[in-house]
Amino acid sequence: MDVNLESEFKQLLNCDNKDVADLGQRAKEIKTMYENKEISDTEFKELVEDLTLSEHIADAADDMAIKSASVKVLDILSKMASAI
Amino acid sequence: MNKLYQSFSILLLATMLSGCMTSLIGARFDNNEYFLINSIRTTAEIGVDYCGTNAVKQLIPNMWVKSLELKNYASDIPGNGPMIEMSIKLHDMITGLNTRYKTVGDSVEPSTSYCTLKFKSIIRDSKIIQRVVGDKPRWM
Repeated sequence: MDVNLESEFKQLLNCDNKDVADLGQRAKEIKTMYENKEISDTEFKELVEDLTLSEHIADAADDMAIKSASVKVLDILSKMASAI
Repeated sequence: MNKLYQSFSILLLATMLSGCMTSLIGARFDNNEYFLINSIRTTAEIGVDYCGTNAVKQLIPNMWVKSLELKNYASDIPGNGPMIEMSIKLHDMITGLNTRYKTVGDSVEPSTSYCTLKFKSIIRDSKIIQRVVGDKPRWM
């Protein structure tokens, strides 16, 4: 189980997507601190739940970026059209 | 070529009349959203260095109020789905930190490692939100 987790961490940390790599780094830090008893059980649980919240934030950020891009295209077309 | 421009004009007009433009209102740059997310990020960047000290206890409620303001502000703007989602999740994250510091007695402080990790998460996520909010197109 731990061996698998280590290889998953390795994959995440080497990911080209900076946000994904950051998330992997955080997950690894949380696991290490919990194993070293630097954080309590409830703190560990909460921090793991935060990783899920972060994933949702990253997904919504992608959606917003797509929406912004479509508005920019509409603006450009609108300018072109009004210049006719 | 004129035909092409005419097609664009018709497409734009159709989009405006269909009500799709309303759904794009939230896609425009909003000073207030940017101000609030910047404020949360800045407070978190300051707070991370104060974990384990009493000063952090004053910064956390302040950050929590700002995240609640952002969540409430974003909630009723039409077509603002992604921002609503992000502000809710960020507020949930900050609420966890605020509750822990608010409810524990003086003898059972949250650990410094927890505090540091929590602030790092908030910094990271508020940076992501600030990036996309800052990149929203400005009103023409």
